[in-house]
Amino acid sequence: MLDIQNLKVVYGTGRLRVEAVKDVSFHVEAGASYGLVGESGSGKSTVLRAICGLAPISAGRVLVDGQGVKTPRDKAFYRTVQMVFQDPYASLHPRHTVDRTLSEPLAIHGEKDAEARILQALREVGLGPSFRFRYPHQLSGGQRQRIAIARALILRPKVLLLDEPTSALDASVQAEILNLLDELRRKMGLTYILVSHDLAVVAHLCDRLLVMRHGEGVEETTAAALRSGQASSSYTRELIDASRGFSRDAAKAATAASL
Amino acid sequence: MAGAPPLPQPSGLQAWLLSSEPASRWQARLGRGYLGWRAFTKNPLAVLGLAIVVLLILVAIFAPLIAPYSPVAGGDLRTERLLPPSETFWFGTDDQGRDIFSRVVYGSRVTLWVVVLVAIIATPIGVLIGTVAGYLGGWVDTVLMRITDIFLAFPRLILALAFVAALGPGIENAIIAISITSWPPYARIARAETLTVRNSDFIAAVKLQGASTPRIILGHIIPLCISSIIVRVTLDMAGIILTAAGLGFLGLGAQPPMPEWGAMVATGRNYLIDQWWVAAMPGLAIFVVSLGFNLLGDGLRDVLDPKAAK
Amino acid sequence: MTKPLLEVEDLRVRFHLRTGTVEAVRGVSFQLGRERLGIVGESGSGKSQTGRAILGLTPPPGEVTAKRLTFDGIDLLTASKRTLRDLRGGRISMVMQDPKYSLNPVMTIGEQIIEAYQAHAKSAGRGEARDRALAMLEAVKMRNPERVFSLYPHEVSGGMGQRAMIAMMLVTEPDLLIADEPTSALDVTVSMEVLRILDELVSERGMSLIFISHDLKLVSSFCDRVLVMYAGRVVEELEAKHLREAKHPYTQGLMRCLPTLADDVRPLPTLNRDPAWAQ
Repeated sequence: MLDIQNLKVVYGTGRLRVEAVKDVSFHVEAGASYGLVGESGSGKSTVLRAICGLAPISAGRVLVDGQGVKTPRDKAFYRTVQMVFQDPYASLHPRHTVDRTLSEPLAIHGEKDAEARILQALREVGLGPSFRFRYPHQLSGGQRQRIAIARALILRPKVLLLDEPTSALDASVQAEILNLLDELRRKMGLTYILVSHDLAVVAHLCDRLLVMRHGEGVEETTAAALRSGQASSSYTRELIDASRGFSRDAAKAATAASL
Repeated sequence: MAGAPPLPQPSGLQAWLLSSEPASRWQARLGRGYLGWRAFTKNPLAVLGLAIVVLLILVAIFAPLIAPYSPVAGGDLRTERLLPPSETFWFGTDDQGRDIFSRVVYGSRVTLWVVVLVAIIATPIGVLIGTVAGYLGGWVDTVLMRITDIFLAFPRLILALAFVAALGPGIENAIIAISITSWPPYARIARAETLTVRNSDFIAAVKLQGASTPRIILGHIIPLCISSIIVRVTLDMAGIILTAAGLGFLGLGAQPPMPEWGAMVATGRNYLIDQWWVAAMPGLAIFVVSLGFNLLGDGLRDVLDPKAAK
Repeated sequence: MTKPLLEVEDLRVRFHLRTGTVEAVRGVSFQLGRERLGIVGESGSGKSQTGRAILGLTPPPGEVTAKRLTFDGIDLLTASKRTLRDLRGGRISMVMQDPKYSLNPVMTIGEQIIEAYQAHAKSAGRGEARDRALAMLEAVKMRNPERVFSLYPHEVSGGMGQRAMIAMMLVTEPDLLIADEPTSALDVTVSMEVLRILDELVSERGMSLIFISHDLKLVSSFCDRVLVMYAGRVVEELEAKHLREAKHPYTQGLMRCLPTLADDVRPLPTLNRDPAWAQ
């Protein structure tokens, strides 16, 4: 479904030149869920932005359904690939009601029957019609993220790019959103590419994943391997250990090791 | 927010407006307007400014009912010239025997006319230029901003003078001239606001739906600029009134016998020492209206732009 | 039991807004000795406002009331502004979440630490302050303290910035440190490092610690006792090592709803918010 081949993304020129992504390759089957894990500066979000055209592709190829993507992307692309952003407080227009936010993609693509589809979209993400005319500031973080997901799905895309969709949410809300994403993928047969710094979240939602660091893929592995603590690269091992939380014995061991 | 409950709930119309579950577009919009109104009315000076502006509008609309005499027909030049304020002539008479009060009342129409037209002409020009420059960036930005800089480099009155001198005197030309010199600050503000939101996630999201540039600028960016622009336009109104008055004073704006306040101050100039009311009354009107717009603008800014509020 | 360092009884923080009054903290009571106390809650639970109220840093239009709010016998509610200023940074310090926003961007790191030191050690000269600052930077394991001393906050990474903040807050050897989400803005590997340093320093200096966070797991592994807050109230207070025996459904729900590498629970158990908890 989605093929990334030797992707390179470079921002700026001269002294300010930054290679956000140096050389990343991976392949995602239709209906699968693929994770990109890494810390800040790893380039994982940049890969998503390069796929959907928000970041330039300096080298390499991005293929959707076997076809290379055009620059600039066309409407057909946007009907196939959509994105959910990290910050629910920033991804909804502050002056637009939910109704306006959800009807816009339909209007852009000339879809009729907006009324019914908006109500259906709200139902799919677990919100009732009473949310239709609220402004973003009248919604909680979890509700905003649900609207963002509804907006992404209203055009019935095949691929959903998720950029840290739950990092800005409280733990209990995160669980609800993760369950929603899981359910939607199974119900609609979507393909996910999930970016996160949280190994547990990635292991929960994805089957396969790529660990990234400084713009490069370090290790491609599976959720099952992560759960059993196996990792071939020391960096992945570090991430797995860190995800277990703080432990005084581990701290003492680390200090002893560094002396 | 995990449930910290607020205290007592309002009822009736207030409850409908403040409802957190609006059932229609209009309810949502009116609700927001209502909250803005409540914030605005907390500031007594802002309310005073609004009252002055509303008074201006009412006086302009009901001028024929309020003014006791005709603003243009002169009185008896032997007995009614330059009379001081009295029971018959509330603001006195000018050198043509005309009642100054009636002229000030009818002059409000001219003032309102100028202010509204300039706002309607200059604002869309400025906002469009600013948002397009800010959103598209690159050479479009450079070219548009240099044009803006050129217009900004001239003092408003001088440039207006030049245009009026070229186009000929008259209130319509004065309005065009003032409009041409008023739009640059709006372009700057619109561009600054556009630059702040250009890279937001919500703009990226709508781009990812395939939205065209005009749709993004008109539907997404301009609504975010409106607050700052409204504040700026309101604060500018005082300056526009003064520029129109200045042009009138120099004989290049409204032509006699039109009762434009600036022109009235000009005629009063010759009689300033002994018959101070001829210049002072229209001058007072200019002062009060400018103050009103300034107070209104400050009040709007406190409501619409929380960062600039005290 | 020896006299507690901090006594809080029925603390309430109210905000009087245009749209009504919001009670962020609704009757929180606890005592703190020479120990580490964790305060856990989600956004809106009032945990940060509790920390700020202790320091007297509640932003206006907030209003703080309590039956008792004393630090080492000093009544914080009636203390003069001068007393509070001497306490803040001197005997009670606070480390905040994001060094991008909590460090002064136009002063070098060294200058900020010196300023913090000199504000409380009034007779200290510049040389002494500088030495102390460098010693602190070394204590937070900066590889090159001299160099970091003259860097500006934007020139260092998040983890280094947070360590600098810790150095600044501990240079005056306070009795109590309040850490408000100190690692939430940092990468996971970096935050482990910062936590290790914090752990060492707190143990070495015998300080009391209030650790405020949304991360229940983290807080329970770092602290001795944990307070769980919901809707402005404390719903449960327990020893960190007895976390698994938590009784309140909110605490239990909070623990279970997080995905972990160890278990694969599908769907994740979600929290059913009982309105009774907010009473």
